[in-house]
Amino acid sequence: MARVELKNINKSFGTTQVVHDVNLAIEHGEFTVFVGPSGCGKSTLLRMIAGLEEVSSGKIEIGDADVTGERAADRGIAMVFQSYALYPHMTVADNMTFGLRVARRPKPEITEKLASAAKILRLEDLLARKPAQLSGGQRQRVAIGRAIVRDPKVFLFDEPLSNLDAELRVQMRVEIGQLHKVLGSTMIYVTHDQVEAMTMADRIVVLRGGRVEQVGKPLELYNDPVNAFVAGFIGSPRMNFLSGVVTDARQIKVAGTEFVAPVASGLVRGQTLQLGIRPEHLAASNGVKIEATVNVIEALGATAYLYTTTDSGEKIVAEWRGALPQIGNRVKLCFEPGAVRLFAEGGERIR
Amino acid sequence: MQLNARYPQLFTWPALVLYTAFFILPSLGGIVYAFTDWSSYSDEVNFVGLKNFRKLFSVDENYFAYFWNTFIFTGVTIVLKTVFGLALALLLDKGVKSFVNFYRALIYVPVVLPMLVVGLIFRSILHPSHGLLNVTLRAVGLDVLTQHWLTDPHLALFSVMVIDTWKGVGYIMVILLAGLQTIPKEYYEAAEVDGAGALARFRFITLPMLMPAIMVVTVLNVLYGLRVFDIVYATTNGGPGYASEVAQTGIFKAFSEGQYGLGTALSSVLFVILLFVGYGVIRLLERPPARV
Repeated sequence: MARVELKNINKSFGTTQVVHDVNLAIEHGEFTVFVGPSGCGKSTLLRMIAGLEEVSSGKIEIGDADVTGERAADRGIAMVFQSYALYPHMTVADNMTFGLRVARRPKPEITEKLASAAKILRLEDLLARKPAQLSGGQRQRVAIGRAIVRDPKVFLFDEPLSNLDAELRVQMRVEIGQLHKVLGSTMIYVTHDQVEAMTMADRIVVLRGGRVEQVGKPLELYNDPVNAFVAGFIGSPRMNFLSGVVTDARQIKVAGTEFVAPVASGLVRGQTLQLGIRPEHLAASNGVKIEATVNVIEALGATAYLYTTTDSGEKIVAEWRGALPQIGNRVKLCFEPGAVRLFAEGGERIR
Repeated sequence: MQLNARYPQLFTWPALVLYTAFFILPSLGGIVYAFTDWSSYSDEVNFVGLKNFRKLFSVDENYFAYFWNTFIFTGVTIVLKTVFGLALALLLDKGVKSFVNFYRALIYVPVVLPMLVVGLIFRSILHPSHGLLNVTLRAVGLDVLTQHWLTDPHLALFSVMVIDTWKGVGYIMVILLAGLQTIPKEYYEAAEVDGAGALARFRFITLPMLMPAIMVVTVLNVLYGLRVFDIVYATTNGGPGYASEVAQTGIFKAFSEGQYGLGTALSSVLFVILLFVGYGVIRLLERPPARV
């Protein structure tokens, strides 16, 4: 079993602390995605698990063994780099078997592992080529092949798709997902793209400023974010944030209308707060209405997004079904009070 | 378009004329004079066929040894400079963490020193009786190791090669260091994850990726080594006897003695050697680079 457990991990570069007291348990066979904006420490965290970066303090366990002080090669991990890092002077076959050859494994074993990895990744016809003769997607597959051949307990991916074009990225996303099902190994995947996180992950770890903001299944994060940051980061187009005031017990005034807050307690009269409403929740046929003026229309075919401004000057993006309005028209955006997420001024969720 | 096409030519012609007048013609002239008895003893210049070349390749003369020494010098200094240059470059790239620029400057200082100054310094250091090296060796009781560094026929050429390496290694190091710094660190990290130790990383990552820089360095070293003159002139002047004589010092001496025909014949032979070796090395360089 290859659980990965991080205990009180801290990391500083000089006097700058980039990872703050991270505690995390990743179960065997789980596909975990670290997601967050650039500089949130997700890559550093991955590199510490890989053993390419030392931890300043804390403990890393892989498969119940403490590997904090172990060399990268002895941790039972394999890593796929953003730049692929294929050795340019070696053929595809040599690239994939480099680790085995360095470890002086017997010839038949090397041949067998190469053949099986090449089969899984459909690289059989490319084995004699050099990386320069491959397309981006093929290079990506070779990099994954190099990882598979090592037969690791844990696969680590460091933004592996960011050098590919959009179409190929979607395709490789699916391929990596299938690979995970075939191999059943624990995989940790770093990305800044929340769509990748939502589509691929069993569990998502949202990071900001070197701290874990929330850990959970994709839909848990989507439906039940712990704070405004996670709510805004997960979901595309992003959640709208409107400022509101508590007028009376559970009454909230927002953008010219008032409604009954979907929370039991925790509100104080006169308190200002942020209301988070997702664009798709503004397409309800009835409920609380907000009037706004349409600035831009994005018609995607199946659905459309309206970029609007309320009378009080707040910007709202709303999904729209049915006949499209004209730019400059006033529209009524409706939402169910239950779809609203409330956040305090500091960003914490009010339940 | 017509006007544009003429511009490059207009700029080329003056340079080409100067180059022809002051380089190509004298060079060809030199080759022609190699077949004459041109000298400072007589105003007459007579065509003598291959007489000068017969003298060069005759067993009674030492000129064979000159060329042999030149090859030894070239081969050994290439190895010494590349090995030490690479070692220093690796040290400055990975090993040393502080004062890197200071060390880099320190190693580069000999490159900047004038060759004649280096010659004088080392003639003083390597002086058999009161030179710094032998005095130090005697002072610590290592009398057995004291040598006539520049005056022992068996040692002189070797000493010159070491001095030349000391002077030239900084230049080679700078080029190799630049090459090392272009190798992306992901390759080393990937190799580290693959379980490659320091030696395997050097063998499978550093060396292959540094090949273009090593090739450049080798070309420079070959062309320098075959044409070496000043360091030999400044330290041993080809001595003792002919022990450390190289092609260029031979040419210089032939001209000083007024044997212009013989000098030009020597130059012509060196020219042909440079042509072939240079062509061979450049062909090696033309191989497509491995880097993506």
